[in-house]
Amino acid sequence: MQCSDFHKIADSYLGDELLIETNHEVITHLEACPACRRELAARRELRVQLRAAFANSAALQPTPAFTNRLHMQLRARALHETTTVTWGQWMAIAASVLLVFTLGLLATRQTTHDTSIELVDSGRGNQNEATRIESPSPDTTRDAVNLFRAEAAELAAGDHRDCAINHKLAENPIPLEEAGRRYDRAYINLTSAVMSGQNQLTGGVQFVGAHSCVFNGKRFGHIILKEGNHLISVLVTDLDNAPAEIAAQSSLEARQAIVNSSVEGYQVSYLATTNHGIFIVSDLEAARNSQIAGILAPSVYNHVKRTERLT
Amino acid sequence: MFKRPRQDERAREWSAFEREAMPHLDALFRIAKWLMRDRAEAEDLVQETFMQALQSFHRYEQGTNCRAWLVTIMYRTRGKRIRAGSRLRLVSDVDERIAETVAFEPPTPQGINDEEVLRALEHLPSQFQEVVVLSDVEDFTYKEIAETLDVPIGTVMSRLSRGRKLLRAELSKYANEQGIRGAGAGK
Repeated sequence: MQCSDFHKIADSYLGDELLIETNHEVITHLEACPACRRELAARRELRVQLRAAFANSAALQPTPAFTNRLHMQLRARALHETTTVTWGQWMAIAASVLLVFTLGLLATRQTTHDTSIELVDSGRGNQNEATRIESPSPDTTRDAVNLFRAEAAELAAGDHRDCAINHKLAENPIPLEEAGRRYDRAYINLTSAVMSGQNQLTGGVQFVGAHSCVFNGKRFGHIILKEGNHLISVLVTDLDNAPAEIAAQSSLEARQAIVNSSVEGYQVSYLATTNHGIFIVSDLEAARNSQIAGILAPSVYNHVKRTERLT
Repeated sequence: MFKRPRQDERAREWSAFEREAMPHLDALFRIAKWLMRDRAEAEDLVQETFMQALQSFHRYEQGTNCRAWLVTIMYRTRGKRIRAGSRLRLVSDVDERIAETVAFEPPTPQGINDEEVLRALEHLPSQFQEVVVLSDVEDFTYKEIAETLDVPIGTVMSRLSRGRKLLRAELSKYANEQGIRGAGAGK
């Protein structure tokens, strides 16, 4: 083999596209020809540089929000694809829906306390408008609870800031379903729970993404929505480090109250189930954030409660 | 009652799709972003590609190169969009002739950073960029590239060879401007 022959097939050799016999000829030639070895090294180096450039370029990587959104759309399409239904089948479906609706209405009347959620103020922000509707509790208990809420609100606001807005968490987010299997069942179908509430929102609130992320060592189920240029985070986390007073609060009304506060310029609406905290965080006006929380909270609250009963 | 797969079959299909196709999402996005330049358009293209792939996943042969299959769908989707956007087809053998004029193979310069490599690649005519990216970045075989781009294997080989020469020439030009030394004497 001559050097000119090698130059013609060097790329094919690098791409492992040659016949075994030709490969042997190339190897034999390379052993005897330093110039062609250098040429081969140069071509190999070019491939390495290109691969590294593509792998390292931030501009060429998809955002976690896009990846999550697409994953969810595909999943929904795969598992719940719409189908062609005949007129007779439509009638049967309509009758079933009517029956389910009627039964649902009856059931709702019996369990209204499950979804009624009140708005209160934490005292950290909007103090003038505060109307606390909590069950009486000793001052020490209240202080512990308020301190815990304040810390929890700070964590939620921090996750909203570093994850939804700045994308700079130390640990990469993982899909909610995976987090649901590995860490907390409340994350499974959390998106559906938020979306069922989101359908009732007016003002063009759109879904952006969903995942599970970790901020300051705390894991959250994180649904990101958007209204205009404002990102809204719906965050769910377990209250494993909550003070005993939180669990000791037996008043259902107190547990279901939505507490509004302001942390570093973000509005945080918070409510708790027995074992979980639910946060709605955004840089919207306090009233709007609270309004969104009031609409989203029932379906998320009931979803989380259901998973707690299963655990 | 309904003409559709049972729920457990759907779950199995989705599970297979998730296992085979979803791991290639990042790679597909990188190619799409490179092709479209615009992030929103790239996201749109990747979304349509995966939706179509999901719909025709039953045609995918298990054990074959799933990424190549997805990239082929993406190129066809993009081709349809281009045709829908314009009835004119750009035929540029001028670029091919330009490539023919690169008679020498300059050494690959060292000390060039990632952004400069990408900028040099951008300067290549698009048909050379395509084959270089699919071969050198995505590690596609000549056959897979030929099927993806719907061109003969011979065309893939010649475009690849010319594309790499052009890229080295671009990098060398840049290195000379910056006073960076070359790696390997070449000739």
